[in-house]
Amino acid sequence: MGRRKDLEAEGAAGPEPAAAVPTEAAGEAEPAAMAAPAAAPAPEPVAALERVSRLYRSGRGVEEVSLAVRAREVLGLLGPPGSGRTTLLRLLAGLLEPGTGQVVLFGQAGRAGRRAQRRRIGLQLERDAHFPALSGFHNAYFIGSLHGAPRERLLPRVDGLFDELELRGERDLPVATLDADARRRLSLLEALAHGPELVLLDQPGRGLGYNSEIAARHVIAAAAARGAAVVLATSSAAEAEALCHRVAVLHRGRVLALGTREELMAELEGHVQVTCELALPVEPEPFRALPGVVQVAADHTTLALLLRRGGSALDAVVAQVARAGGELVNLHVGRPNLGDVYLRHAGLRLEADA
Amino acid sequence: MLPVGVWRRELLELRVRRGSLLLGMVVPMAVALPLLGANPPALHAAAAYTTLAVLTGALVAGRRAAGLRREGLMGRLLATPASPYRLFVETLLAQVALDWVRVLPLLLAVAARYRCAPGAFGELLVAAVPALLLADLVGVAAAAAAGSRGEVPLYALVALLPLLFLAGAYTPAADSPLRAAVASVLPFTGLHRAMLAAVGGGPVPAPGPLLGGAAAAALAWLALGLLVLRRRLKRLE
Repeated sequence: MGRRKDLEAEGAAGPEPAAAVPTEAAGEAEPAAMAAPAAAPAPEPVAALERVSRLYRSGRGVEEVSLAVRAREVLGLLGPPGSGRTTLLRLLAGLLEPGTGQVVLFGQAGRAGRRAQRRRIGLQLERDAHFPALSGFHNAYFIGSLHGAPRERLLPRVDGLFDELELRGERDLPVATLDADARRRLSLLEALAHGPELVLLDQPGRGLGYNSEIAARHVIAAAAARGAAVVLATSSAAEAEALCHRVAVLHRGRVLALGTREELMAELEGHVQVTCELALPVEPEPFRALPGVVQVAADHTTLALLLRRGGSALDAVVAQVARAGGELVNLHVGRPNLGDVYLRHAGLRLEADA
Repeated sequence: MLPVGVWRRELLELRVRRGSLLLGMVVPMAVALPLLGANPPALHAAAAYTTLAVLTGALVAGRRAAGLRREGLMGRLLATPASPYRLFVETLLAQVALDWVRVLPLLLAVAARYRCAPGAFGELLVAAVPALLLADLVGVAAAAAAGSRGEVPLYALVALLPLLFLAGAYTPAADSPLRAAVASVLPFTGLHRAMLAAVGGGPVPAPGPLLGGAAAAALAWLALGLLVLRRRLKRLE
């Protein structure tokens, strides 16, 4: 059971605004959700994929994907490596042509005018790429100038973003001297410097420390609040929950589920997430047969389970661990998150893909 | 100065990587010094200096291209709205300009050592430009073909030495009509003939046909490079 939503069914209602105020609660492993009581997004999509398929020679790629993103919206593409996130971003950026289906950017389908459209797109690639001898400022300015942004607009924006992303101290240092955290933020800065209408981010939070992640999320949310349509590819359920108005759950090139966080989580109402850390790995199959167990995924010595709340499912799981010869090191029981939506549909943990 | 466009970006990088430019000027001179000090036959001297100038361009350009690829900058720049062909041409021409500066001390040393006439020296300076353009293209191609940065010099050498031979740098190309035809489409021929004249091993060629031919050949090779780029971009789509 999934909550797959057609492009047409999204209609003019638009997505709901994202969740709470950002806090730096001490001891929390993940930065809290962002404030984004944004205005209701405009009805016309800024970018859309209509039944797009694009397969590589290896057989991987994306199949029959339909998505749309509107102004002031953050759409998440949530999936592990190999799920098609980067391919979808490249299709939206006009860097790849679809095998079938069509990509509509700024109301225009087809290849004509793609290069001109790229001026309105900001892209953060999965891999950071900078001229190592140049400073962060010069790198950002150069990329911004390639997008045709005039100096009087580009200069204050670049300067401002250096402050917002806490890169002021690194602004004039050669990129070769910056650590991975700073380079990642610089890539995000380059994607936003020219004030794009469509922002495509491939794992913006990857490798960022706690404070950097907070700063990055503020900047991304602010870009959406200012009117940009943001598409964010991530394998982090926490990042998707914190930033995205809507999330598309991807697995092996297909959209398993698409909707707001509340819509996706509704199917896990009455469920509980259980993570068992074991001293030795155990076979997951026997756990599937236990009453109350909805889904199981094993990754080395970690067992992730989705159980129906109530009943004796948890007791049965612990007993099965003992029967299987596993030694329970740690047990975590918690509220399901978007990672469990992925688990529910794909039968795998988000952090690992078979 | 703000890095608006490729040229200004290259100049800004040059300000930071001054040492690299200096090294590029010193190394060819260091290799040429024994030759300049000795008295080799004019044919051998011209062959050696031509090879040195062309190799300098190809190796530096190849190393630079391999570095851009390793940093992921090829993909990054392709994702911008800038025309990839324009970026390619501007980056290449900037590289040719810098390589010309790198070989300038060598050319000046040759002119001083052999006391060549101003006209011959002028032709030598100008003929170096199309030759370096082809050399840099070979360097870029070597970087694209090589599996690692360390392999780039090997690939460049394997491509350049036969081209220099066909251009008549080691044995006269005019000996065979086929070789002469091939030599006419290689800008290395113009550089070698100008170098031969500079070291007193031949007459000063008429500038028009020499430089016009070399420039036309260089442009043809550049067009070929752009066609290859177009094919590679189509494969990426």
